[in-house]
Amino acid sequence: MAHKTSLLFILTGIFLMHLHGQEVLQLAAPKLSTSMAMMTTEPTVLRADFRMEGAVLRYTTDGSIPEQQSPVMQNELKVRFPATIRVRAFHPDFQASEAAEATFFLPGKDIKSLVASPAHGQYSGPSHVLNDHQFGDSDFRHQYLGYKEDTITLEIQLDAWVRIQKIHLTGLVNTAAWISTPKQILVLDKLGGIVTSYEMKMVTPDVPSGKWHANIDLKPGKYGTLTLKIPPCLLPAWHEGNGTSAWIFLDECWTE
Amino acid sequence: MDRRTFLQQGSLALATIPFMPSFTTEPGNPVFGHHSKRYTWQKNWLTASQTLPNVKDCHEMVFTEQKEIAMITNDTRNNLLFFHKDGRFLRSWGREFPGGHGLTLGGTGKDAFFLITDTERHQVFQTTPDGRHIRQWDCPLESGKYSDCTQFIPTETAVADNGEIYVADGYGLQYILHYGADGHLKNIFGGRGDGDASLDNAHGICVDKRLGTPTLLVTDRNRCCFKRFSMEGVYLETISLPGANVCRPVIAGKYLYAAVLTSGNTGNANSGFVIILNEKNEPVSLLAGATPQQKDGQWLPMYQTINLFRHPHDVLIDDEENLYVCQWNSQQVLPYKFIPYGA
Repeated sequence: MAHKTSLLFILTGIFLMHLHGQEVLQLAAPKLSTSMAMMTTEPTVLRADFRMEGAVLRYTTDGSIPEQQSPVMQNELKVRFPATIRVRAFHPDFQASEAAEATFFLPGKDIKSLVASPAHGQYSGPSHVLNDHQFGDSDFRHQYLGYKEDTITLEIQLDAWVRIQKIHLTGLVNTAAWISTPKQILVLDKLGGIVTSYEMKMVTPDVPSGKWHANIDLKPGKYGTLTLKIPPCLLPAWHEGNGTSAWIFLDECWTE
Repeated sequence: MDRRTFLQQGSLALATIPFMPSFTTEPGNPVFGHHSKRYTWQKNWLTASQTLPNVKDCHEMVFTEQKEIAMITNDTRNNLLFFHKDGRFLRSWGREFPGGHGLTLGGTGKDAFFLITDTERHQVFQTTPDGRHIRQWDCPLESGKYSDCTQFIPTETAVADNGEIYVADGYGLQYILHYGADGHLKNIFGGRGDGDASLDNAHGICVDKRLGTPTLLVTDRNRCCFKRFSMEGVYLETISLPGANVCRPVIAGKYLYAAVLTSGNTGNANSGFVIILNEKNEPVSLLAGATPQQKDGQWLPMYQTINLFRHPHDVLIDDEENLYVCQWNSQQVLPYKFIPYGA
């Protein structure tokens, strides 16, 4: 009996899909006012926009994917704690969108100074761009330092008496513009010894754009000085530029 | 199984289907766009029972006097492709345009011609519609603006009624080159910069005759706007379209149509849509895009709402007001066709 019932469900589904005639399109992800932000003393506001008649936005704050039973998001959300907020668009005539995501970080421990190796001429800027608590958006021409074919070094001076256990680094992905995640981030102490080596997954065709975040664990300690070294890397085999140097665009660096 | 059991179980099956779309036209065929400019997607218009051409990027299209859709690609197996409105692939020609990008139709009757821009050859070509070479324009060194021909990367052209030709150097130094009907350079304007008369990715150009006196509309794609110039190159106005990285302007009747490559900036992959403006240059309809809306007299940023397109690159409107969209960097898809809905 259970077998016959299951078969009926399957046949009904196939019938309805045939009746529909065409595959159902998916909604685009909602527009969020930010994808990454540093929290301040004031509640941070996340805004979502999706102007489509009949569409509803739903969200989660625990990093899970919003579903039909998730709370409805009105125009904005006050964020009072570090969190990853995910928002999806729903509409009865379309597949629900992928989740748009915004991550809110605590500012972290003070960095006394950060000196980055010179970026590529077209995408250069002052080193403090990487530690101004301002995240860039998808426009790689602003708020990033762009590198190609050079080993990137970030010399970070910390308060010698402050204990840290993580270092964070974010950047941009845009495979159409040949901008990739780095393959490896080496963290060196003041004597040049390797504190840790952080390996990253290379870009894939199903995620052509977005932000990457290296959340690098360290043995808790008072480091004083750290150097991050990012070797150049090549675009992967599936990319039209496979075998050539990838662009690396750095956004923000902070410690925890 | 008796009939009652079947109906009960059938009802239960329907009740548990998690997604039941409402049908606006026919099942699974949504309506795209807004207000009086809405369309349905004729997904299989390119009739399946034929060998279709392979393409790399589809760049631009024109509607010929023979009522055919001509499209240029950068695929040197077949640069120029011709389709019938009913979806038949008719023919192709061209193996010499590795950077085939702009396609404009000029002239009429036996004097009709194509203007083709090639971003890799850094040249503009005039051909007959069947591919016979007529003449070409190389890098305009005589303008004094170019020191190296690789700086000239023309993306599009426009033809005035008097036969004069305008070339948009949309991937190069952002100038608009104005040539006389004799082919000689008459004027140069635009160029990269931040002022009103400057351009940043002058991807497309067309002649706008809707207001009587012809003017030029030029794309400023990185700044999400069109800029209007006189035929002599004097800046007149900016048509701001926040969030819409527009490709070339295409005028049909009183409307202005444009493929929008991406939403917000060209770093947003797979976020394109199509925009339609009315005679006042107000956005009235976005296919697969957000409902056009103003706040405090300004248009709110526009963006993709439906994953229908990846990177639309041009639109074409035929003599029945059907709309065709071809795409760049979109998994080598051939053009989509849309039928007016509710007109």
